[in-house]
Amino acid sequence: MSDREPKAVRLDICTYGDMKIALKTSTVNVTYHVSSIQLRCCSPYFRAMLGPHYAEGGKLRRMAATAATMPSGSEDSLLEVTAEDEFDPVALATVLYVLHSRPENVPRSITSENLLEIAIICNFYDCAEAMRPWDELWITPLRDLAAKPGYEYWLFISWVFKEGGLFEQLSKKFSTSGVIVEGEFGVMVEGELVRMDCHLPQGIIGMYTLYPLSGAT
Amino acid sequence: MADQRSTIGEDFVHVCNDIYNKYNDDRDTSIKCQHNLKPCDNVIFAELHKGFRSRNLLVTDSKLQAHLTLDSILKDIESVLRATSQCIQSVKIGSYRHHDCCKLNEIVQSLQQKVANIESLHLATFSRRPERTYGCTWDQILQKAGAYPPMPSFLYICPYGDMDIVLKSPVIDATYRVSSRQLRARSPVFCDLISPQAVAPAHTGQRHKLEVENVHDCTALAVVLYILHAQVEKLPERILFDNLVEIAVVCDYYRCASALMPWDEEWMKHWTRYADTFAPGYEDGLFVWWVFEVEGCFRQATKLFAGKGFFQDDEFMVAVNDEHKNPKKLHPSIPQAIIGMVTYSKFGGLHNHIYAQIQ
Repeated sequence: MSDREPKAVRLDICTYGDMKIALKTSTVNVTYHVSSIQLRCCSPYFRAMLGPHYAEGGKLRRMAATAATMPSGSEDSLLEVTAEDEFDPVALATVLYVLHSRPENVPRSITSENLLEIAIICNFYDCAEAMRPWDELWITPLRDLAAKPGYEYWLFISWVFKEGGLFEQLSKKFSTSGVIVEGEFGVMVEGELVRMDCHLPQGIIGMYTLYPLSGAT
Repeated sequence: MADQRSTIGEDFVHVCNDIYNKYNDDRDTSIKCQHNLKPCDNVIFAELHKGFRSRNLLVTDSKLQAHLTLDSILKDIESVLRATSQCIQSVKIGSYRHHDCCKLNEIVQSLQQKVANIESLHLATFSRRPERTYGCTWDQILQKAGAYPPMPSFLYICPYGDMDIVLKSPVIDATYRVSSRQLRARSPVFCDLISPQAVAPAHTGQRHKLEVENVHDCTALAVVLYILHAQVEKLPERILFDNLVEIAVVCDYYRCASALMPWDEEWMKHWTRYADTFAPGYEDGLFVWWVFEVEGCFRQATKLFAGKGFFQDDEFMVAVNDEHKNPKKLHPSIPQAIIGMVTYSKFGGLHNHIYAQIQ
């Protein structure tokens, strides 16, 4: 079993990073070295987590105070936070590179699946606005896929990146085919049920369930 | 009828009315600092619009900020126009915030049908001479402005930053809160300027101050700092060519042009057509293509300038017209090596041709 152990990878997102983000997946364990200041500026999620009212924020301050009195900080002196294991390691690296203004490592074109992975992370960390103008560069060549079967998740992508026109178009399309099965939201595509509520917020799902009723009245 | 407008909107109307009333009285041109207006702004604007009389509305305010939508600004201006419909024949609207540039253009377009004369003046680049100074010289403006302390301006580029960068000029005293780690990581020049000892421990409230040379435009510096900190929500999608040149100057100085990707490409794409077609006013394109390493445009511009260039008083000039009247100098930040290259492509071919015949 030892040869199947996840490979450990270190990525220096910020040369002078003061924090680590650890992502453990079944195949790879990635440690991203990042700047806590930069994350606080770009993401309300990290702003709260690293603020004075959370344990991580308190720990970060204590570590910073200790580092100020010591000549050099070691690897252990960095705060480590854990990322959701459902995140894609490459997508997380891409998001972190954008948040640290390292465009030389950001891909100019990505696949639709990559974009979904990035949207999941941006939604979780609430940092989609900081992706400007990369989101537009990625979405523009893929936009036509949104209308095709198998790409229903573009409703989520358009919602995360605030693509108003696309979101309206897709929500209209799915409003007639949306169903709630066993408490979960999905759409019927060519007779098959596609589950949709994995990432969509409750407000949007609620909108779908209300739509047929309001339409009837 | 209840007023539906926000407090900010009401404030804006008060500011406009204040300005209007002050100018209508034509007594006091140095409006006191109120409603976020600084004495310095008003004097400068008063000088810029010397011919301003009661039949004009001057809208100059620091309120044209990102959090105000274009609609709300328009609504405010329109309400002022309605309230003073007897008098208003022209509107002059100005701002010095960098992200207002595109917004101003949109406002002007929207108001064009409602007011006979509308003019906008974007004073984002106060540290350099504007194209038009409305009846008074730039020196007079600076002299008047110099009577007041430089306008303080504080920009939270990185609200949790550990360093304040200070840029002082005769008219503006700009402070930018930044992250020293981010600057050191993205710019080798900042890395040299900020020693590791000058990096304050994060989240401890300690901050160091760094005064930078007043050699570039304060707005362009703000734009570059915003990008280096990935704070992009305030950035405009289109900028004027002059602003692009100022940004290139900052990027060249701090050697951080590569960090501007893909913003530089978005901004440059509207101006690349001037690389191979000579247009007066776009001579600094050569410098922009060089800083942002747009190889094709740089090559075309070099070839174009070689054809248009000549020496005058030992300086390389570019002829704007065929008579060589009012020739333009190349941008002062262009290194000598590039000027050498441009002149070589002009004279080198002739040199080779002559010496090939001798041999």
